[in-house]
Amino acid sequence: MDGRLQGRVALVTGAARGIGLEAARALARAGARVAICDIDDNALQAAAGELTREGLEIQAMEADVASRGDIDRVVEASVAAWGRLDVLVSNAAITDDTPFDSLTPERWRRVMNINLESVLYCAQATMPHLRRSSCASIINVASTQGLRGQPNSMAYATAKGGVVNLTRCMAVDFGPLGVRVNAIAPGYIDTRMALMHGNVHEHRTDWFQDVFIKHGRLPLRRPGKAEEVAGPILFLASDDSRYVTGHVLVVDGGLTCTY
Amino acid sequence: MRLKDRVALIIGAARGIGAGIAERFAEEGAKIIVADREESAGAATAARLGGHFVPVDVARRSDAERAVAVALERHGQIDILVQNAGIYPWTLIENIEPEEWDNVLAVNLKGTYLAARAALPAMKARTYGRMIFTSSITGPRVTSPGHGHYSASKAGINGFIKAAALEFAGYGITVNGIEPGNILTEGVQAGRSAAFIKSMQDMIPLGRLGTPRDVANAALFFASDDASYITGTTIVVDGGQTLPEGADFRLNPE
Repeated sequence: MDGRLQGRVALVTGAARGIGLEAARALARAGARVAICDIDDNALQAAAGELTREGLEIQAMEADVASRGDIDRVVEASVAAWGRLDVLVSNAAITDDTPFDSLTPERWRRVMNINLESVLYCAQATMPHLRRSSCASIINVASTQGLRGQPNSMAYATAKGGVVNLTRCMAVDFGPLGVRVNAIAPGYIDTRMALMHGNVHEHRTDWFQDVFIKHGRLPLRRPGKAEEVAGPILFLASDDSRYVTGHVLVVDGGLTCTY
Repeated sequence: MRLKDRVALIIGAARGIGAGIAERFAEEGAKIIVADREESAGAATAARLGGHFVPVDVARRSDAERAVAVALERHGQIDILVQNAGIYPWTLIENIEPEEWDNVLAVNLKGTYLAARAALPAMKARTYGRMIFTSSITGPRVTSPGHGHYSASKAGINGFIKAAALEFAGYGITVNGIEPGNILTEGVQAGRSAAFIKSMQDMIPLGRLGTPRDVANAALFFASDDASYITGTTIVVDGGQTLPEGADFRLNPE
């Protein structure tokens, strides 16, 4: 516990597992009271139990970030409980590797809704509270896929690219209000999101091992761990980044510095 | 203490951003070696932080190697290298003489490569190292007249960061950079009116110029365990200055 977020309140979406869970843990260990939400209530309650047993102050609420009503409810409940909100981590997202030919309007809209629109709605729901904070910070979890072209990733990468520029626009609009907005762009991180079509774990395929590990197209030669993305999220949430806004912090083991 | 007992060599640390980084690292428990061309200011900064000073012209290979040798002599290892030394003469390209061009590139860009190369063997031997280079928003993102050589040198640092990150990744060494915006240092304040400083602030979404400590906190992040999966990238520390196309955002913040 280093006290960097002592007295502050944070909300993390998609916090039942993976990057969201580790972000909630890192923020809480730094002293914040953390509201966590997820669409998977069973996993969420398990996560909340784990964090609470660690002595951390957590409030867990089932929520679908595709629903503005759900987002409003979560934000109001955390402010009602703790009287303030200082940090928003918009992390909830779904993976998608639908090829171009089978990308239906329904699928496209669903990916945009959960991965992009929810980032806007979470900001809209929290801004009335964040602008009253003297240390407000929004962190949107994007992806290195949102920075480059990616095969079979039109919907996902477009949504994440949208998150990148939505972050920049929000930073400009919210800067004068004292609210910082940044994004994280994780590369290959070992979470359930790495599961592709047919439950194949991308990082365990021969292709991934050969290209990224053996031939070093991933310079650090290993996928990252969820907690290695949580540290950077804590940096952006804390006053250590008080002059950083509109930035997209790449956390990818060097992936995007080569081709 | 996030850097307890780590040994940090900080080049260009006599004053300004470099001194801010040295101070922040010292607060977090690091052992500091201050390297700079300016002997009295550098020695004073080192003394204030309980560190050691070594006079260095980073554009000279033997100087960069000596700075690393001093760190190894005193502490037996080097965990963190910060290359922050840089010069920024203001000259329009039509007036930049080759000597001035060479001098800016020698300190800012060649100095970065020389520092990295000098620190590499010791870091490689322990399969651990954090290299952090001060770049700038000027060059990699934006520029303004009079900064032709400076912009080229700083954009060059960003390219070098990626190349070094790739080549050193297998040795357990990460390489990252910081792109500061307008930081209120003695150098920036000198010769600028209060009105001009105010006009600079108005262009920045966060409404103020940066401080050396703002940059130092980003350097601390890269040096800390929290950045273990980050290499080959930079953090822009500019209050959002490079985002908008103009200062219109100030007209209707509501």
